Amino acid sequence: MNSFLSKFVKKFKNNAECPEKEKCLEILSLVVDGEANSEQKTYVKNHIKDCMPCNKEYEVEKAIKELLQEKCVGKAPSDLLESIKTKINQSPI
Amino acid sequence: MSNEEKDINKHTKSEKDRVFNEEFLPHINSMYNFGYRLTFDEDDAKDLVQDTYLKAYRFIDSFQEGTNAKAWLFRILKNSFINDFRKKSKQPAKVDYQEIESYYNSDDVDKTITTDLRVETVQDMIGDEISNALNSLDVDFRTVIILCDLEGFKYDEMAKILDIPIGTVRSRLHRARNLLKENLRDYANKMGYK
Ligand SMILES: [Zn+2]
Repeated sequence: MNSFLSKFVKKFKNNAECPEKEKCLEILSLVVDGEANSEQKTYVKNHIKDCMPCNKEYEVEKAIKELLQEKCVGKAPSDLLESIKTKINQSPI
Repeated sequence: MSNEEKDINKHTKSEKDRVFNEEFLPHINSMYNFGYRLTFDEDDAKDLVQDTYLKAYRFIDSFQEGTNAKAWLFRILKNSFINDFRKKSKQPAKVDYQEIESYYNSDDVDKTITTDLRVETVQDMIGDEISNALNSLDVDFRTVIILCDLEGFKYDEMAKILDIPIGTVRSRLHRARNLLKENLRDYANKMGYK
């Protein structure tokens, strides 16, 4: 395939809708969450090589998950641990 | 009480303390974060976490060592939030969950599945943006995102924590993510990201 044609095909795929969008997105999430079986993993791996919308969606899902893990976890206030320990020691068990 | 019985009790108490210190307390940061994202108030979150730990200590005999302590604690916290906290708080009365579920079960939400969010846009976002997008979700959707994405619970663990079937975990998570993506996209548009 000459380069003009392959560029054209690539562009076309970029804008194309995935014919199995619903099914794909469901499986993509399983992969991102580490809940997919090996068959589903293989499906996604092969599918996103050719399907640009799903490839993009997969990357977006991963990026959101990473962002959540990185930015949305915090630490308990420093006095909380001590106050819990004190309460436990006072408890009449 | 004979000396023997005393010894047994004493042993039990130190066993309890060991399990409590080794298995329960290390999760305090995750617990607080969960409490805070449910209540949006530092003092309320502290109370909720403290109540949870006191309950966990009191019912420690029903915890099976070797099982997931974090999941066990999260389940207690979530139940405390629903049973004790929501009643006490000045928040509006508990929303009708059925209504919400059926609303979000409608096709409208699922149709918005592919967003025009770009990976680069997501990666450029700062803490406040993603945090606000998460916080503005309805509590049941917020909860599944916290459990899955922030805390890394498996679907079957989430089902136990939330007392819902695994299929509901999946569908709720799916809808929660669509709503989160919508929030992020709105945010991106407002900020003029391309
Ligand atoms: Zn696809």
